[in-house]
Amino acid sequence: MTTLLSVEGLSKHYSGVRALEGVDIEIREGEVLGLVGPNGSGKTTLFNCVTGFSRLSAGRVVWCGNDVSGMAPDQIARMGVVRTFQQKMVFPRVNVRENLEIGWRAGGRPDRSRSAFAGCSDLLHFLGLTEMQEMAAGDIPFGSARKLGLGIALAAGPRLLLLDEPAAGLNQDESHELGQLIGKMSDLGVTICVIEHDMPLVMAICQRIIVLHAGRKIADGEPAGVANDPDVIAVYLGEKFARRRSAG
Amino acid sequence: MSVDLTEFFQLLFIALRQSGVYALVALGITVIFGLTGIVKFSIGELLTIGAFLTFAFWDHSMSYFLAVPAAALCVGLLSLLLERAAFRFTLDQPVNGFIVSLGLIVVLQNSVVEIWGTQAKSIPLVFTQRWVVGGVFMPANDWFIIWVAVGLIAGLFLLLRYTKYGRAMRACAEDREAAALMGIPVDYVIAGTFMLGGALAATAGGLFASAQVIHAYIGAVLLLKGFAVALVGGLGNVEGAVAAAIIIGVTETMAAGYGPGEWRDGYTFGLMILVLLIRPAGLFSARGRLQQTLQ
Amino acid sequence: MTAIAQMRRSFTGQYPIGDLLAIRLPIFILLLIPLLAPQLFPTSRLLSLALTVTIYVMVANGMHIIFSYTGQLSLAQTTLWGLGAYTAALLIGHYNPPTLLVLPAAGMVAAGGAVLIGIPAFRTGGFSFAIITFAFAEIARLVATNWISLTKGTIGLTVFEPPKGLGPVDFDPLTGNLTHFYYLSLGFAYLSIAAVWAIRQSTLGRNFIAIRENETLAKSAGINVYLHKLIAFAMSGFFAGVAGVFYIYNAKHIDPGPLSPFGAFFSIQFLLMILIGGRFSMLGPVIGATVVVFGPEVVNTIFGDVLTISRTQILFGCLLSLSVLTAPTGIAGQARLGFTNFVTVLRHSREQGRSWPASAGIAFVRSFIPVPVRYDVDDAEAENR
Repeated sequence: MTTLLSVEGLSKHYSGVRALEGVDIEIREGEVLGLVGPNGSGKTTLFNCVTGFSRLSAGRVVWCGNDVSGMAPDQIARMGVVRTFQQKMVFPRVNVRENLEIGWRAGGRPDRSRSAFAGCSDLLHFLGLTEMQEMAAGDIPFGSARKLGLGIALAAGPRLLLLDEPAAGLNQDESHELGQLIGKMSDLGVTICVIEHDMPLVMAICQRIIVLHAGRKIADGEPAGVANDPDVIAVYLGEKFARRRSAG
Repeated sequence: MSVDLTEFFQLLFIALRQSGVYALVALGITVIFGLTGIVKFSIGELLTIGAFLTFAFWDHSMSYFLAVPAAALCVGLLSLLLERAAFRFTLDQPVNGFIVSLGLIVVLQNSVVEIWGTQAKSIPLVFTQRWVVGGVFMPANDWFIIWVAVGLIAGLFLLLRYTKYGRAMRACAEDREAAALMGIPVDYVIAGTFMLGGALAATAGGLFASAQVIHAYIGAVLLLKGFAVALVGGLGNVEGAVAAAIIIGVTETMAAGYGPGEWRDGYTFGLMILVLLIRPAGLFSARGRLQQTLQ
Repeated sequence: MTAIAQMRRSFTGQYPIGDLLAIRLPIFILLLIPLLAPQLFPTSRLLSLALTVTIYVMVANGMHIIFSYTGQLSLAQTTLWGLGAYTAALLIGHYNPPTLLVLPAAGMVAAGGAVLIGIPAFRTGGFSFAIITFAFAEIARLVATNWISLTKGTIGLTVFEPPKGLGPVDFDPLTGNLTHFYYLSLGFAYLSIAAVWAIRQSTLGRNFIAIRENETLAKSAGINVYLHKLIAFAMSGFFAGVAGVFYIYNAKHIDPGPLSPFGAFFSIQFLLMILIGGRFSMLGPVIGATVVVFGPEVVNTIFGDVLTISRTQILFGCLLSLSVLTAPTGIAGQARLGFTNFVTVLRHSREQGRSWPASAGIAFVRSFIPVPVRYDVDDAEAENR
């Protein structure tokens, strides 16, 4: 499997705070990668650095063999790295269909993810939002807005899709539906990296999981392996629990 | 003392007087922004009204020293009224507050025209003595302006630092909701701050009236000067505004004194644009929420 | 809001032809009324007011692109207008080229001015942009005042040449051919409306709106926000510059006084037109410009010259503040809402067998009574057209 994106020795310091410290990550073509870690561990900062929204303090980001660190967000997006946001997912006063058209027209060259769709109608159908296409995006239910956010990113023609907590605020059913949608997107040939707190969802959809803690990578591997990693358990459940578990 | 040095000190003295007026306007802008995030553009017109009220009171044979505080009080009440009638509905949408204040500029400016006409007015100098120290002319009237400005600035600092109201204000600036949960009457604090900002601008107007000729359109330029000062100092940063007032007063006066004088206002605006480009949050570090609002 | 959107959808879905006839056709006919202005208006004073509307429409349409579509509040709009007027005055005064050359030249100069202002100003966002443009407007006034060899300072420039090179018709607004000049200006006003419509339909316009709605998301979808803002500002400058040519042919004079159209305060007038007309509607600026120009005239005719210039301004200032607080979608938005309510109540009462014209009429009228909105603009009705 070829490496699509690699992050090498990435550090990000805000006035005194070390949000990321020497992180190395490789994302391989076609996989669904989970990025997990406690709040404040630097996951969203990593996304910001990769997509050009934050400047890197050190290290570099390599996309398909080209160094893209320091490029503007829109340049990176047109090269095929598209992300979603936790808040402010959509263009609120524009109708759903036009939300997708904005992404469709603004994105880069038509890539495999987009060539799967004949147009926005097709994409609307794929997302299950055809019913709502005339409504303002600010008026549709929260779960649908989440899906629309994914749709805008998908419309921009990504090869790599970075999803920032796509299931946050969704109920069990919606979350399940979202998992299926992400699976279908992966089937279209899009590589996906997802930040998520909903562990059952992560376990279900990801082929590989990376765990960040306090700005460092502490685990990287198969979901089952990572779930039993003593460092990860220590971070999530506390030192004491990890010792007891390894002893017992 | 050489001639050049005399000229330098003369300009410095004028710069100090200008800085005093600018600082008062800028402080009005900066406390309102710091608290509510609203950029109150109409403060220049409050200054004009303050100047004209001072003139009107003085014209009705009131002492100048009573006329200024009376005008400040009236404009403070006007500002309070405007807050109650309009700005309090825009607290969640500061952009709307800005547009409302643009509308108020038109209303207030033309009200002044309607009441006092477009003719220029002036109050004779309150203090007519002038001292000459080492060749530098120092009119007593200018000293008066400087000392009133210094006194008001010191008073504002004491108010913000040591009184219950000042503490409440700072709490509201940090986090309005949390302050409300702590039992601080946020509405009153905000209304009070609008009143304070209006009164400061009106005082600046009253002082301005004693030194220069006033007309209905002085608000525009003084507003921009006040904004230049507030922005260079970092919107919401009270200490920064005072420092920036001196920087801008000196830059402007020196540049106009040694360079072509007709570009006087251009120097200030140029400096403001430059600072906004290099450090959008102002020369002096503004506090957290302000940076977010600006960027 | 959701319910209304659904109602509208069901209505337009069921009666597409009815929708076309009921909304599009009347608007189109209303737009043709200005063609009859020379016949309708007996006095040349009213006709010259109509001419003012056409010029304002061009400037306001320009501001519509940068303010309503792209979401950037520019207070240098009248400065760009003045820049176009100065360019035209200089060109005509020195070379007197054909009008068809003056128009694009003035437009390009104003667009260039917009780019020059925009390059530094768009590095900041929000309020800072508005304040920087305001400062640039004052700087431009200083330049116009002090560059005496070019602009004749406070005296200003005066031009007496009529438009030329446009065929055998005499377009001179002074020699009694105001009608011809009015049609010329009206033609360009129509062009500016068509241009706004075309921009709104294009990818470019969609990107502008994306920037207004959510700048961060627009970036991450691949839109170059800085470049698009510059393009939008340059376009709005072009509109203003072209309007400046008509201004100078009509008014014959431009100077940098604080009350001349060159002053930054005059930009607030155009903001007012857009907000009153409706910032979410394509024809908002047209409605706004008409109201701002003819409103005081109507009031003065009915109540007998009660509105002096300053009183008119006070009224407009109050209207601006009030419209922001109570009716953020402006007249066009309220009318659209009124029409939707009208149709909804009409259908409902017809089903109930009640006297439907009365209740529908009441619903229509009620939609125009402004209700204070506390958290307004973001709740505003979506732009569907």
